Amino acid sequence: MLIAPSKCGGHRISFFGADVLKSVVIVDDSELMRHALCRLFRAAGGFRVVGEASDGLEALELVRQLKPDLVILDLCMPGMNGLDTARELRRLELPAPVILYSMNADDIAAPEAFAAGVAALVSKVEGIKTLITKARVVLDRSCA
Amino acid sequence: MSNQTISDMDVLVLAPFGKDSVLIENVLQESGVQVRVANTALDLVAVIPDRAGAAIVAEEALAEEHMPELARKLEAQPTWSDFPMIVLTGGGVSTAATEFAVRARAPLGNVTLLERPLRAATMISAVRSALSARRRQYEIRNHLQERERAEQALRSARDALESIVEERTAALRRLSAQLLRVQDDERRRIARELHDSLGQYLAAAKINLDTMALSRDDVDDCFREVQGIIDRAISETRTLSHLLHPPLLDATGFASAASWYVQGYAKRSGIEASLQLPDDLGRLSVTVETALFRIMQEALTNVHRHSGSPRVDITLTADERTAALTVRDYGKGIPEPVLSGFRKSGINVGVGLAGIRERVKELGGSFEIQGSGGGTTLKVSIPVGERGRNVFAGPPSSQIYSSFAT
Repeated sequence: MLIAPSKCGGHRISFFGADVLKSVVIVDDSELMRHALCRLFRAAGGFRVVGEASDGLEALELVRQLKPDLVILDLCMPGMNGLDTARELRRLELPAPVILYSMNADDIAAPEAFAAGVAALVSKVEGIKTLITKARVVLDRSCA
Repeated sequence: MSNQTISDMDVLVLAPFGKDSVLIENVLQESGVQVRVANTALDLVAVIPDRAGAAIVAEEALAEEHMPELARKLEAQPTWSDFPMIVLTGGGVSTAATEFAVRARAPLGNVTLLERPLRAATMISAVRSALSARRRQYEIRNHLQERERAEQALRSARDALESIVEERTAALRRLSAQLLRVQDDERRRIARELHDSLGQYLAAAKINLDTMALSRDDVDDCFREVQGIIDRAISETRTLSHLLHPPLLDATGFASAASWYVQGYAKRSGIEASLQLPDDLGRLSVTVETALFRIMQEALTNVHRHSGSPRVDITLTADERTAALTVRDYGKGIPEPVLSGFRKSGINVGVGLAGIRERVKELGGSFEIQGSGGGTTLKVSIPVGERGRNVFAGPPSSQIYSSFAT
């Protein structure tokens, strides 16, 4: 199931010093989680969710089409998992920064994730502030 | 010597010169002793160790060319045998060599010397004495042979037992490994369920609640979403928990739990399932109810996974002593070699059937599986032990569940 573009809109807020919304693709096999993340990024301000994918293969296609500023990638998905998807994005030279968002980020070895091209690891239990903060840090870094 | 069969108590006579052999034969036969006349020492060689009772040899025959062969044969006798030889001395041609051989009693072994001329009674007495000793030797031989046979039988039985033990040990080892694998699979499945449903629901609910704190824009939507998520989490937790162990089983017994499970099974699998239970089953012991439920669950899982059957009939009957569960499907059955291997040594089947067998064995019940074509019937009977006087008189009540039932 390829879901693009996302139905979630975005608020136009300047926090990077430019009046522009950063485009985000959300990849998670749970519809509930995609929905919650979409709502969160809309509420946080400064982001626009442009697409949602429910597995790794869909994510690759979506990123290729939409060239988002940021990809939020779930680790545990049927078929191609988040880590493999990140590796594949790097191999295909689709250079969107990736945040690997997992139920328990401690499950993944950070060096392995960074080697796969992941920009940041966030646990789903860490709370939304961490996710939003890291998203902004990653975007800042990629703009610099 | 004639080709006539020699009895093991016959006396051989080797007296090649004169009329000795005829005389001896006459005397001994009159006394009821069977006599065979030997032509050469080779005839004696042929009957040792166990085809004659004794031999009478004239001293002059000891010089013949085959005598060393006889000596070797006598020396090589088995431990039980000491073949009696009566040597008739004097009265004929005697050499220094035979004199020496006879006097030294070597190497002919068990030798009795009788001086010729001798009285008939002396010879009869000596022969009877030799035959009597020989009979004892045969008795010892028979005893030894019997013991050897018994030992051989014992060795065979021990070997067979060891082979069975090895086979069973290997089967148990396989079962143990299978059980560990099943345990791992079950843990993986539960972990996945927890992660994929409960974990996701709780994480999504938390994100929604955090979002409500962040912005008031979507509060109503968020609130409804969280309510929906919590409802789904409660429902899936109940399903997971009930499949692991139905609380109905403890609360109201096998009948209710089985009805609930079979109904859900029919919906999940698309297999039409009928359940027949005694009208008033009452309660059985927790152990028996749990065993019956698990066996039914395992059997139905097998039907779903392997049989390809569109239908399954589950019947429970019970009396004061036993509860009997039958699960009958109409699928492709179990191949006969697999079934016979299972019946013989309990091997070559999956962990499901082996698990059922172990549960039944543990409770002192019986387990039978039939049919290699046109479906499979699994019958289990378990002693119910002491219980109240429940009524089983009524006809069984029947319930049919299918995936199409509303």
